[in-house]
Amino acid sequence: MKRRRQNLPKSNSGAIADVSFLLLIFFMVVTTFNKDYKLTMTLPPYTPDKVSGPVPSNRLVQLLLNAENELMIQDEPVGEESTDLLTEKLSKIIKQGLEPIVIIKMHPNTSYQYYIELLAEINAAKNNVRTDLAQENFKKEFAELNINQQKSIEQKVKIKISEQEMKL
Amino acid sequence: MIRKKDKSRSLPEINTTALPDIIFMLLFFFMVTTVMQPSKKGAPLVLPNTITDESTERTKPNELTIFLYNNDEHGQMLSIDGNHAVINNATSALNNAVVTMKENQNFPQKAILRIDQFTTMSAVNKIKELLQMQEILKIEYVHRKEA
Repeated sequence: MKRRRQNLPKSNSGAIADVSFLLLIFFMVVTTFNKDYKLTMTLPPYTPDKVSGPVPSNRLVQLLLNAENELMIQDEPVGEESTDLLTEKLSKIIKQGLEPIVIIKMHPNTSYQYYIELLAEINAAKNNVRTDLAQENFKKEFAELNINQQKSIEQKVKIKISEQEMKL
Repeated sequence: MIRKKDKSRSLPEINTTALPDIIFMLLFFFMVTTVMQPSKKGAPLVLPNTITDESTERTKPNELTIFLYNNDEHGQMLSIDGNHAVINNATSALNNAVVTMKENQNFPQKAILRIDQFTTMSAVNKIKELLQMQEILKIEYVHRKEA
């Protein structure tokens, strides 16, 4: 019983600071913040009455996005394989030397998430066409080409996107 | 003028055990008081996920950031510079924001859209149409990357 009263032995606490800083710096280095990414777009100038002229059917890729977030490409319902199908359709038009016009028709209640996914898919399809062209013309990856070669391919792979909201 | 050489005299020992406590207190104080940029003006929203990997840059003064989110009470709302408005009042909200920017000699060049993933496209399209009317034609959809 008497032992309790004894003073505790002094411990050297000078190293606690080192240890805690080590932990702090470790977690600072290991932590990653959620990074934001972007999809850039240029809108057409404002026109009050949105009447579009006739679109030549050989340049047209029509996409339909409904309220249940299902996609149709040229009146065919598609699921997972949409990027491949888009790539195929776009490259067919581009190889004829034409500029594809992608028309996205969407239901007003389509959720933004699916619209963004669709835009990303169009971008991915565009990249695929670019890689294909780079392989065909220069037998190299797109990233390995010099600036002039890259420009010549960019010139060919241009896509117009037109958006319409369905009237209910 | 002659100083005593006191090199040989040792310094009195200082107890440094409380030093980390002070430093941690400072650290926690600054951690707690620091406010990160987006949450200051922003709105509670979840950005959509997708695959593209072009990362965003720091917002410039001539860029207009628009938040679009869902509120349980008021439905779909937008927020510009900390001013929140219902989507039906979007026209005046955007007008005010553009006017304030122009007063500060910042002519809006680009709109940065931070939109909740469950927002409907009718709201998004409305904002885009308003931006076209304001002649802000460059837009940026901010999203997270799919894991």
